[in-house]
Amino acid sequence: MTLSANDQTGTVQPVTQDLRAGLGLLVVALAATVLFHGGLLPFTHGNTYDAFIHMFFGDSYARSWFDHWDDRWYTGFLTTSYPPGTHMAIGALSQIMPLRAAFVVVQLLALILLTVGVYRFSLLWVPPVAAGYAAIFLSLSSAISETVHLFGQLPTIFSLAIFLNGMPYVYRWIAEGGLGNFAAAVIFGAATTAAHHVTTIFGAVLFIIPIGLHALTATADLHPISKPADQVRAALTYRFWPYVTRFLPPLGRGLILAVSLICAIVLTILPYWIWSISDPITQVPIPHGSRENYLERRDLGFIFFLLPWGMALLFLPYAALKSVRTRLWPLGGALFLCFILGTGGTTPISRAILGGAFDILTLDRFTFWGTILILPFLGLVFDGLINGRSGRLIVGAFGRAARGIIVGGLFLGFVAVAVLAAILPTIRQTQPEFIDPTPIVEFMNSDDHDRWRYLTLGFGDQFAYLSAQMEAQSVDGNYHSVRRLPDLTRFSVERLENAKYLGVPGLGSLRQFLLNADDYHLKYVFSNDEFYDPLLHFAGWRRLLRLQNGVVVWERPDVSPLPAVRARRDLGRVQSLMWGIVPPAMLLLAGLVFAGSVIRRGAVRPARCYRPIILPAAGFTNPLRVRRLVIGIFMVVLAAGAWGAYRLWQHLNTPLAPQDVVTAYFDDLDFRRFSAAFDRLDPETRPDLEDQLFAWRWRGGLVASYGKLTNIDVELIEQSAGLADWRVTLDWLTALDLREEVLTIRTVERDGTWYLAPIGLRPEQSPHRLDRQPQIGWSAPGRRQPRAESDLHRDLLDRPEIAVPASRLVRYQDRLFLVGSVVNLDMDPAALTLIGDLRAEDGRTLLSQGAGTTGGQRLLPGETAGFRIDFEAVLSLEDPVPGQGYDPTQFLPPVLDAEPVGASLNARALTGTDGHYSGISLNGIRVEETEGVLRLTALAVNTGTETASVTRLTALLLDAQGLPIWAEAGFVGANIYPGQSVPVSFDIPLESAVETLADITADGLTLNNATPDVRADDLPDPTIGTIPLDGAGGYAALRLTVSSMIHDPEF
Amino acid sequence: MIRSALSLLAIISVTCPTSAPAQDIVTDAFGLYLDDSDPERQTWAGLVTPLERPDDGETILPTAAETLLLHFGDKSIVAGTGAAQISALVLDQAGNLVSDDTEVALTAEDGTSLVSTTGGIAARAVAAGAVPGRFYAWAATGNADALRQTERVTYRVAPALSSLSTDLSPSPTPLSPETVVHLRGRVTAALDDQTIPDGITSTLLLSHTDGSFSQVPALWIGGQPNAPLLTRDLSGTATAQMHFPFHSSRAIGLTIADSLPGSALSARITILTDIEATRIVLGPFTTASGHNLHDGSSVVVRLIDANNQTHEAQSWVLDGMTEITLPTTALPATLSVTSPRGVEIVTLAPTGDSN
Repeated sequence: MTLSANDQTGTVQPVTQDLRAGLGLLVVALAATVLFHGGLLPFTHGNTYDAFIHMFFGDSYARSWFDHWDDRWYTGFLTTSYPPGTHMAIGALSQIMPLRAAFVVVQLLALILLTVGVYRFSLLWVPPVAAGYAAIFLSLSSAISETVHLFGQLPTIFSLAIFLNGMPYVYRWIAEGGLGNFAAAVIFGAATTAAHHVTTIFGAVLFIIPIGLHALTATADLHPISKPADQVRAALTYRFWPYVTRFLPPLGRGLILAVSLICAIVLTILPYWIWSISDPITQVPIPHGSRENYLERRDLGFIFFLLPWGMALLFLPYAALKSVRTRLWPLGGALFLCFILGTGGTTPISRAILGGAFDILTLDRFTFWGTILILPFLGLVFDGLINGRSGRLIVGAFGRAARGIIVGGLFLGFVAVAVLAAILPTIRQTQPEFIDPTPIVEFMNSDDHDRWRYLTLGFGDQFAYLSAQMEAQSVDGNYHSVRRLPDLTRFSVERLENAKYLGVPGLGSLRQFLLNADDYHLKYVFSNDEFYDPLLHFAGWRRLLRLQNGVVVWERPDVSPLPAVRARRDLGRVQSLMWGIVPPAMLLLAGLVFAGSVIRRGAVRPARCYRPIILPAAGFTNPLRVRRLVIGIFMVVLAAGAWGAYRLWQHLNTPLAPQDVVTAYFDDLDFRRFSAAFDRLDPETRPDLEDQLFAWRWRGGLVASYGKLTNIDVELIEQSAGLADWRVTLDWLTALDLREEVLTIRTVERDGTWYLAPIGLRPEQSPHRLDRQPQIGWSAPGRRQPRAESDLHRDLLDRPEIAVPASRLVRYQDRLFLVGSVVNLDMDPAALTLIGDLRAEDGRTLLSQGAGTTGGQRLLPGETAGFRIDFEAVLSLEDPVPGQGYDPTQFLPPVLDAEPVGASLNARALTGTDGHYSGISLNGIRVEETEGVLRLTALAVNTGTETASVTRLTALLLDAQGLPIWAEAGFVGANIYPGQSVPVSFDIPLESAVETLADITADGLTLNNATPDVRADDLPDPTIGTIPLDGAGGYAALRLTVSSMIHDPEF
Repeated sequence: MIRSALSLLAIISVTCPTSAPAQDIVTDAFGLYLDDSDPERQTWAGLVTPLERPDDGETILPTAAETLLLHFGDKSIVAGTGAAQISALVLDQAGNLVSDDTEVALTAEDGTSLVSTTGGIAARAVAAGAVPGRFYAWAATGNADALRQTERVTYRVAPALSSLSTDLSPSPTPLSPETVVHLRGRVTAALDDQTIPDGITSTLLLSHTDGSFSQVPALWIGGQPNAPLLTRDLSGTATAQMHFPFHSSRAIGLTIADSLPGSALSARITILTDIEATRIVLGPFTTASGHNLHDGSSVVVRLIDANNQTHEAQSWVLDGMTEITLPTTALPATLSVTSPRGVEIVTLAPTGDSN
């Protein structure tokens, strides 16, 4: 079968396109899609950002199709918060295959549909062969590769596939009417909405309006104006009226379709709209890389702009030319609008166009749509190069081989970029190694562990897959729009799971959860990243065990289980039924329409009303000029390529500047690239690799083992020929604090390459080669007895008897704190939970807060420790933090509805048998007032038998009566091996800076969930065991408590 | 073949649903049984309570005590002052609570008391004795063939923390530098060492004559506290005192010996012209006691070169020597070496070895 097309003058051109050739290319495109994407998907989807989230939603529907309350994330959320089409498809398929396989099948199905959709969409604009090439370039599109294999965005692909397959009906309805076309257009619009509403909404602007304009221009061809016989009438009406009237019907049909589509969008996912109105997203906007300036953040520019455009970027000038000169101008207009919006914050244009929506939308989706809109142009280019006059011109000028090289080279280029995008996660890992969820699922499902909530750390997006495997609940989640807890919404952190990568804002949120675990019934943390170990340990969490998959389980003692009856949000029967029935029904209807058109062979055939671009049958009018132009372009491309290659070679072979060597060295150390770091040391004076590795590993501790380098500042001290001395300031982020380390580094130039002079670091050794010491060990089998029943009273140990000799509410730098000391009067070791409440004058609780990392969470029998509870703000949903940044020194005052006049303290203890390492002594403690603070210095000496990887000193400052004034904690930055010592120093505010607001009386004290029955006479003297300060800093005495974390990550 | 067919018929006859008359089903602690089931099985019907068969209108009166359940808490009480509660729940054969005033003997370390039940429960307080230790408690009722008693439960009477006090054992000789010295206390209170649980902690505080303090944790193992002190960077006299929550020991005097140099320090220098630095090997760091300083002893070097520039570095002793590279080649220079041997001055000459 052959096709003919009318040109703009209404005359018929010679037949130039064979539909079968177009169909053949479509088949090739489908095969390429199945082979390329289908072959990669089983291996790549696990490394993507979103795949597991969609699987979780799919699992939610598989568990209950009509119950849309899922309490496994964020203490509960409505699944109506995301259009359900793709998730229901996964959920349905997961009944007959594993969840991951269901995702792969749905994604592949979407890609196949999208390939057909692109072909059908392209047929509206270009002839069949060009449309076939467009379909092929879809399967070779780096944007598709990136979206599928890097981002794992299923709904985007799925909805676009449906949407593009509905475009022919939109065109036909506008161009020639027909109720069937209308119904099909509306059904496809509704089905698209069922999969992803954003595609329908923005697609209406970027796809439907161009098609509507295209259909209107086609109207001129479809309804040519005949010259009237009556000359007078012609004079009156010929020039104006017929031109107007012939456009009225398509305009009217377009209007009807627009209204109908809006209704379809609203009705198909009505519960979603109701949710979004009743539960608006009043959270701090999440920063997204697609809104950055790509010239400043080139890494983001590569991911969100350069990579998705890939080779297609080279053909934008061609698209511009064709848009200006042919009827493709509506398509070109949409394409360039997407191009501009896709540049994000690089230019102010995107923000000017989008206004407030700029901060909410992820702008890479415009780039994605742009790469789809350019496909018909690409089809045209390659059709011309292979079959058309461009190809003939090249053959004529340079021979057939040259054309083959050009076309083959371009194809190879497309394939290479697409493959690069697909395998990028394996080149530069974006997700942790696969974590087998089975041991965690078994842990949560055994011994009633799922009566409490859990949290994962360092799992990446695999957290969603883990949570899909079980009923257990997490306080965290992986879909930020439905976050409900104020602690999660107060900072612009996407989720707790990746708190480390968001620096202090993320850690701020995580800390709130770890300290106030009881409020959230949070008992278990599954940690796949040692970075969080210090925070967990010093927040009172207990390292329980390491599972088979290497994940460490942390447990918070004394957390109440979830109530049997929990609050849930009822959607109502009508909405539940609507959500469970309407979206899948729309998808099924669209599927039936598509199947019908496939059976009738109409799906891939252009309709009579199509008016694609006309391919010129003849050659160029001035072939010589075109030939010169082509040669010119070729020379320019060649020259640009050569220049680029030279610059790349130059870049790769230019030795680093000395300051860059310093930066690279510490960067290598931060990422544990020891061999690379060693290569940057001066080869003449550096020690052996083994010696150097030993020195690095020996240091370890809070900074080197658990820290993350956030900034390196290199400042030149002195430079002479071949030598340069630098002052290097390293900013470390640890899970406990921010640290600054200042080093003096010398760089040496040898044969034009700069190296670091080795940094002397030789460890102190123990005076003993082998030390024997008696140790105390406890075993509390408790519920681990081999019996099935749980919660037997006979298994429970008594709560250790504790006392709080004194505690006070104080104010420092406009912040409120509860400070005091707690003593273990029992003969058993205790794990403590300390919760402070701010009280109003009428006794109401204004704010409740758990003790932070300054305090004694674990006490040996007879041990006394100071503690401090920091009352921090938890903002309400209606009161987000202004701006997106976070200043770690900024304090957000608590939102209190009355002035706090006092406080109460709830202290309780369980028998806690671990974390009591007591081998650290302090030699030569000095406390001196300097620079407006009280500075404590000492030598921390490990006289025990374990390696103290992080050591905390808690200082409780007392007045002359032995009452507490302030508590401060300092952490030792390095490992302290047995026999080794490390200097430690930290600052304490002066007494004059601390204002005492109220003493906590016996009425405000609850010990072990009861009113304390310890008489004042029974309490120990608070000054026993303290160091006299004799008024230094305004204090009378100091009580120091040392506690250490002894598990070591071996670096 | 025939056998197979018969087997199939048998299976079908067993598995096919057939209509059957409704029968009363009775439940008890051992599961469901039919009204007309085995008589021996029906004897268990005594466990059926009126609550389970309300239609029978039957009232089963409590019979003799059959089962005793014991509860004891707190399981750890403080000697002399602590108190706990012993309670026994008494049930008859049918699982019902026994009649009030059934006598139960409740036995603990403080003796046996006969207590009458009320609502099936007999309970009394247990006062902790003055002697710490681990004790048993149990309950019994009835006698002869009707004697029923519980298993024993253990509870602990722990010594009161306030009763612990020790004195430090004075050290007769000066403590060697860079040595781990175990300072131990001995119990002064009238307590049996064996009854003091391991794991109690106390704090040893040293007050040095230079105004600084040292703090050493002391753990009680085997009835006495042990505070391991590493005499690093410490010298001179100090007073030591062991502190508990309620008591402090008497202060004793301690002397920590200085590390005196055994022989003069020498330095071997190598000029590193490439990096405009001087490598200095210092040593041996011998002591008057006839041995080298321990590996890892801290050495601080301060060098004033010929240009009057000051350079400072820190290093550690390894095999009696230490090696330092300083960014200067301007010799001669004066080297001030601070180590546990004290402060020593070495002059560096450009020729090589110096003294």
